[in-house]
Order: sequence, then structure tokens, then C-alpha cells
Amino acid sequence: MNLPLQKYFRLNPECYLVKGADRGAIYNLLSGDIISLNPKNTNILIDCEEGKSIKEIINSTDDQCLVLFEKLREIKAGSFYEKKIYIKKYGDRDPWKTFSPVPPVLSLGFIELSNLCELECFFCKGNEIKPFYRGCLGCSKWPIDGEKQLELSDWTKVLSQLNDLECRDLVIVGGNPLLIEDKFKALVNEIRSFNFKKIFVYTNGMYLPENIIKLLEKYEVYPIIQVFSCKPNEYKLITGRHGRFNILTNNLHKLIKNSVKFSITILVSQITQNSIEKIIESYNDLMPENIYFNYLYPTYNNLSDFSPEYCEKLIIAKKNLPRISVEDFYNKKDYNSCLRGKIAITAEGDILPCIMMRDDIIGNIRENSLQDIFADKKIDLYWELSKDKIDICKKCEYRYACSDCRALEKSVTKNLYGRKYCAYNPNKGEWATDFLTVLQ
Amino acid sequence: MGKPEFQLAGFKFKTRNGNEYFYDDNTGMVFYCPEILWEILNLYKNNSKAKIFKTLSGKYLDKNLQNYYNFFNRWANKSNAFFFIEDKKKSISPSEKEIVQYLSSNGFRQLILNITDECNLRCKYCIYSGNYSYSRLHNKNKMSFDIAKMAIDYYFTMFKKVWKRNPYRKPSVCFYGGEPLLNFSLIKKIITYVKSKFPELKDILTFNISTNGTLLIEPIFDYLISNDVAIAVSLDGNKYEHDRLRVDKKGKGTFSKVMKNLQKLMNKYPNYKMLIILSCYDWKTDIFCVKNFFNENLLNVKEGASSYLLKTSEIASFFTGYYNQYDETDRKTFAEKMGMLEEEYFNRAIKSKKPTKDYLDYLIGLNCNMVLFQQKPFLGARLTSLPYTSTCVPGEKLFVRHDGTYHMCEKINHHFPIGNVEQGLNIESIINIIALYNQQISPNCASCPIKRYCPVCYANTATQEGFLKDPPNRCESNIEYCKNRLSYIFSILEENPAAFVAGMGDYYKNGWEVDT
Repeated sequence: MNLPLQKYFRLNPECYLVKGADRGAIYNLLSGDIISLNPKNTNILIDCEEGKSIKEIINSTDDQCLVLFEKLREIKAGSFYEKKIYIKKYGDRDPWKTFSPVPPVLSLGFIELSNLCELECFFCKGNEIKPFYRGCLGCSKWPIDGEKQLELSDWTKVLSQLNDLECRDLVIVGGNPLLIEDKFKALVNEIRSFNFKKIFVYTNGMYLPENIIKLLEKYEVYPIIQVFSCKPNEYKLITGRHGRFNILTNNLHKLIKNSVKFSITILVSQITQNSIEKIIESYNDLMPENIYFNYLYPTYNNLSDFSPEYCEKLIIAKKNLPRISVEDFYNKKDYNSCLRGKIAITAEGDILPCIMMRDDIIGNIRENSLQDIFADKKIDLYWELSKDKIDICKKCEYRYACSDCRALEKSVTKNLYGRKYCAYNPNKGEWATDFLTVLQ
Repeated sequence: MGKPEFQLAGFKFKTRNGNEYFYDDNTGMVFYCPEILWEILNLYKNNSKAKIFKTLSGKYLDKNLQNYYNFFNRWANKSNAFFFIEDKKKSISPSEKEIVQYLSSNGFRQLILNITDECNLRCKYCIYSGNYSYSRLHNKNKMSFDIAKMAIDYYFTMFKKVWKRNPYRKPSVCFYGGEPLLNFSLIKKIITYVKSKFPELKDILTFNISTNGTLLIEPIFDYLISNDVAIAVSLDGNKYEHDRLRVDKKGKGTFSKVMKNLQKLMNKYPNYKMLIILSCYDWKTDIFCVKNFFNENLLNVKEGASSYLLKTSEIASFFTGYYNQYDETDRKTFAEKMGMLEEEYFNRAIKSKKPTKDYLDYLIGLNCNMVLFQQKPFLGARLTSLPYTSTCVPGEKLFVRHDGTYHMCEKINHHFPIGNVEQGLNIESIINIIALYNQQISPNCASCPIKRYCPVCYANTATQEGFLKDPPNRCESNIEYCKNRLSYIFSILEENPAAFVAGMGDYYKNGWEVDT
């Protein structure tokens, strides 16, 4: 092969090389593309980035590196240079945060009013903690000691502290928080005197009398309705109650009639796994603001109920890797992509990094202010839990791309730094194709 | 068809290897910029893509032309690089609400108490020496405990409000002079008062003192260290250099006194982390001797890294006739010596894989890192109505004079008070100061190619009645300085991409390490 006239090859400023235990990846921080590299090419590019000349690289490997360089040039990931140059990579981090701490950016505060719920969903039945089944985007129900429940005055204190921290949005969760009507009314009345940008309430949509709807409208509280199916019989199977689908449908129409904006969260389960598109279509007709998805995770003994296609959606699989912006990249490099910016307060006053991480109590509102939690850096452990801190993930070249649900991972591995729901083995550089095995 | 006028948002500079780069102030990026890219940038102002290709096709290979045009295009389109974008930030007069809101998140970082104006020294370059226009002169004014208490109560009341927004913040009380140790009894009273009045803050409270070191005798430093006070001591180098500049009222050098005290302190508390040495120099400084002095006596270079920090600064040259005592030969001689040290640092930095901590690291390396950070030396978020230069929003710090007037910092002259102990901060004064500053200093800043690097602030532009750049060509000099600095830094980085912690130091240094 003819040697190029240029002596050096370097990745472009927007292309950031990340090495894994076996393979490597180039993150293009302008286009969002991630390019996977075999071990040999990874090492060649490390040499390039460290300033070695093409000649030196050929001498230590072979001239096949020229094919790699040409390919990378074609896809605008790198360029040839006559002289040794320095490439400043895109998006240096702000070093000043070390010297003068900037205020925490709190985007979402979860407040749990109660665990009351009128449904008996098969994955949420009774009053005991079940094997973990889904992420935080939707209703859930946790055991609560009635005597320890916060009073309205406690909640006012919490709201005031969240407001002082300039928390952007608030999410009221239950059980179904609308069931404790008086407390809910009093709470939203308080909330409006603060400066939260948006207020959401997670509800199963079963209890929406006119006065509640008027309240949602008046105080601009934005319901996110948890749905399970678009068929009455499946609804009965899932919720354990007759007629619930009709109640839901009526209530959704009441919201529409009263021009109350709402969103839908679909909890997909083994019962509905083959009719996702139909469910979307059905709820799309109601013109919700957004449709979100939650997936029920298999437990140890019911894996066979789930299809491989369904299982693929539950894990980090090759096709689930997102495109990555420069902001995402540096955020994931330094922080946990999900936990950062969130805090949750349970009905008993416990302060959690995530409403689903029930064992990770970092304080109680009766003893600590939310400000104490930040001042003592108790939340930093979670906000700064990047993939670089997780043993297996720190060996992975995709560690600054993939998302993370610590609540799910911890629930199944019993380890804050554990990882199960990923199909990639960074030590071998291989993606698993049998997704059921990953979930076992 | 022609395009509207485009103005480049940066400048080109060249490294020692002859490579050319473009510094882009919009993104803070530095792009390799050979002639072909430079021509595209300049032609883009008034030409279509087809015209650019037609103009340049005889000169460059089509493949190269396409490559560099693509490069230019994707950065211009995806991150607004290369040309000034329409300036939507208007330097205007802020509203009261804007100031109050800003200070509720970013204000009250430090309370600086001007314990006394009195000083037992008469340093040649002291800002109160009479060499600097608009600054006060030496006098014997002392702060009373009552004034101190009122200022402390106000500061901590305001701090607690800010803390609710930013719980990471720690209250900081600084003792400033004159020579604050001339009023040591007040310092003790203040420390006792603060600790007893705000016991809930005891774990996060910080104290600092700036002292000339002559009175820093054993019982005093024992007290300061037992109360975790961070101590900044001025020491301008070896005996000759220090005594040349830092003298007592009789004109006698103070080196022996300061060194004796410092050595005692360092011997008794060898691991005290909160000691910083402040060292100034001017055109007559034999910077080689100063380097050797610090390396051998204070930085313990041979024995590994020291616990002490060093901050070096050139004696200020604005609003002063201080440098009139020197001539062009002095300036050139000093510049040559600095050039030689830069060369020494260069030769070390291009090879070094390990960070060192000797005098040159403080004198040159720190500065290179600061430039690479590409952040203005201000802390925190910016106020939308104060978009340019690195100046603060008055109220971020609270400097309290002996008579209880509040000022924005210890560096600014006394003509711009922003409140007092009786009434607290005067927001109207703050608004007026910002409006005046915007009007007098930053009307042309929108098209400045070094907005990220600008060192201009109230303190270094304040006259008696307003703000003025001294010398008038200060902006041009700053731009030239940035070009030279970037050229120097990139010349190092071409040889050793991991030379600095800042910039992409972690990428080039640690990016490949995978713990298997």
C-alpha cells in the first residue's frame, strides 16, 4: 500500500476515543454517532491520539492502519496532517465547580402522599414489597407505617425547602394520591404559592370526580395516567377488578371535556407484550400530551412468560444505545444519567435519591432539611454515580452513552454498584443475542 | 448572492512548529487552521459555496477543499462556531429584581473585614502608597467591634438565605488591612463572636487572613492555626528582592523578620495545608534568584511536593506611575529573563508526564492552566444584564471598611460604596454601578474575540467617578497576550498533549487507562 503524503492521523475535535477492556469506541459529539472499534484499531488510534506518526504506527503494526485512517477520514471522524498538531477535544468541563461550588440543579422532586390504591394489580398486590418490576415513571405502592405519615405542615416544610433549592418540577405520587382528596387539595393549594414550573401527579385514573378535575385545572396540576392495556378483559386480569377499563375511559374523556392536559404512561407486561402498538394507537386517539412506557420486569420464576423481543427492550442492547450529544456525554462522564437532579420524599418523611430506591434512605425530613442532605454531600454519592464507578461498566467503551436505572440494578443485584440488565460483555467485546439469558 | 457581513469570532495564531490554529470565542474551541480553512473562513463572508470552490479549486485539491469545507460547515452549523452570532445580550441597566435574585443564589461568598487601615510597612508598590491614583492613603483608621458585629450579623443573615439555595456554600470571613495583625485583639473577638453566635455553622465556617508576616509570631500563629484560619503571607522572594520592595516605615527591609516567623510556623506546623505565600515581582526583579529561593527554601522541591501554595503576581500597572522609575532597558531585561524561564518551563513541560510543583509551575504552569480552562476568572453564573468582561455583580463579596461602609471587594478603590452596616446592601447603588460600567467599559464588547478571557473588572478600571481602561489600548494588549499565550501553550501541547491538567489533560492522560 502506498504511504500517504501526510505524516500524522488524528481524530477530529468532535471525536472522542473511549477505550474498553477489549474494544474501543469513537463518540462523535457533533453528529451523535458512536463508532465501534476492534482492539487492534483501538490501539492504533490511541497511538495516533498520543502523537505517534503514521510511520511509527506502521512499523509497530502493519500498513492496514491506512485502511482504517482512510475510512475514518471518509466518515469525517479524522484527518491527516503534515506536522504534529494538538487537537483540542470538544466540550471541556467547567473546572471552577471545584473552587466555587455552584448550586445544585434540582430538576425533579418526588413527593409521596400515601400508598392508598383501589386496584389490586398482580405485581403490586398486598402491602409487601414485591420483586422489583419497573422504573419510576408510573404509579407504585410501598409499605407505609400509618403513624409515621407526614402531616400537611411537614409537607409545607418540604415544599418550602424544595422551592428554596429552586427545584424545577414536582411529582406527586402514591398509591393513588387523588384518593386522599383532602390532603391532596390542601397540598396543591400550598404548592401554588411556590415557584415550581410544572406539577405532575401520577394516578391510575380510577378516581377523578368533577371536583378533583376542577382542582387539577385550577392549580395547573398535570396528571400522568398509568394505563395497563386497551382491553377490558386484560385490564381485569392485571388490576384484579371488574369494570376498571370503563372507569378509566370515562375519566379520560372527562379530562378531555374539561380541557385538562394529561399524559399517559403505558405499563407493558407479559399480558400486553404483543399488543403494544395497538395500545399506543388506542390512547393516541385521546391526544395525550405525551405517551411514556414502562416495562414490567420478569421475576425469577416467570421469565418464560416473556418474549425475546420484549426482553430486548428491558436491557441495554446494541440497538438501544442512544445517539449522544456533547452535553449528554459529559453529563454521563461525571454523573448518573438518571439520578442526577432528582430527590424523593416518602410518605414517612424519608429522603431518597429515587422514589424506587426504598433502602437508600439518606435522611428524614423530620430530622434533616433537604439542604442538609446536599451540604453533607449525602446525595452526591448517587448523583455522581457514573458508570466509571461501576466495576463492570468502567471497562466498557459505551459507558458514556448508555442510560442507567440504579433502582432496577440494585433491586436485582442487591448492590448499589451492581449491573445485570446489559447485554454487553466488555471483557470480550461481545453483545449477547439471547436476551432471556441476560435476564435470568 | 452575497451574504450579510460576517465577522470572525476569534483569531489565528501560530505555534513553534509552524502550525496555525483558530481560536473560536463562541465555542471556546481551538481548531487547526491551515491556509485552506482560513481562506474558506474569509471567503464565506461574501460568497456562496459554489463561488468559494470556484475561487479555490485551482489552488487546492478538490478532496481537501471538500474536507475543510465540510469541517467548517459542521462546526458552523452545529455549534455556531467561527462567526459572531447576533448579539442578544444587551449591556443594560439591571432591574432590582434581577440583582436581588442573582445575589440570593450567588451573593455573600466572603465577608472581608478591613480590620485596620494602619500598616507597619511601607511597601513600594502598595496600592495605598500614593503611587496609585484614586486609592486611599495610609492612615490609622481601625474598625470597632460594634461595626464588625453589625457586618457579621448582616453577612450571616444573608448567607443563611443563600445557603438555602446553595447548601454547598461555606461562610468565609477574611481579615484584611492595612496589616490586620495590628488589631489582633479585634480578630480574636470576632472569631469568638462568630463561633458563639453561629455554632450551627462551626463545621463549615472558614476564616482567612492576609498579612505581611512581620507580626506573625508564635502565639499569634498558634492562635490562628488552632482556629483553622487560612494564612496568606506576602513574601517577594530572596532577601535582596523582598527587601527591595517590602520595607518598614524607616525604609528597612523586612525579609529577616518575615522569614523567621514563617520558618517557625512551618517547622512547628509542617503539614498545615492552609498557608499560602503571595509573591509579587516587577521589572527589576531577578526572577532567577526568586525562583531558586522559593524552590530551595519554601517549596521543598528536592523533598517532593510542599504543603504550601504560592501565588505569584506582577505588580499592577494601571492608574500608576510606579513603573516610571524603570526604563525600557529594565523592561526588556526583565522580559528576556521571563522568556528564558518560559523556555526552561517549555523544555520541561514537553517531556514531563508527571506534574511538578516548583516555582515555574506557579509562575507559568498555573497561568497556562487558567488559559486552557477558558473560563473568565469570575465565579458562578452571569447576570444577563452584565454579559461582558469578568467583573462580578457587586454583593458577591462584602468588603467592610472601618466605618461600616460596604464595598464590592478589597481591590477596588473607596469611591464605589454599595451599602453600609446600618442599611445593608444598597441595590440602587449596585444598579447604578453596573449601568455606568456597562456604558463606559463594554459598549464594544459584543465583537470582542476574547470574551472568555477578559480580565477587566470594576477594580482595575475604577477612577473617582466612573470606569476607564488604563492604558486605553488595554483590550488590544489583552488580545495580543492571549494570542501569545495560546501559541506558547499549543506549542507545548503539540509535543506533549497531557502537559496540563486543564483543557483535555484527562483525555490525553487517563483516557486510555482501563482497570481490568
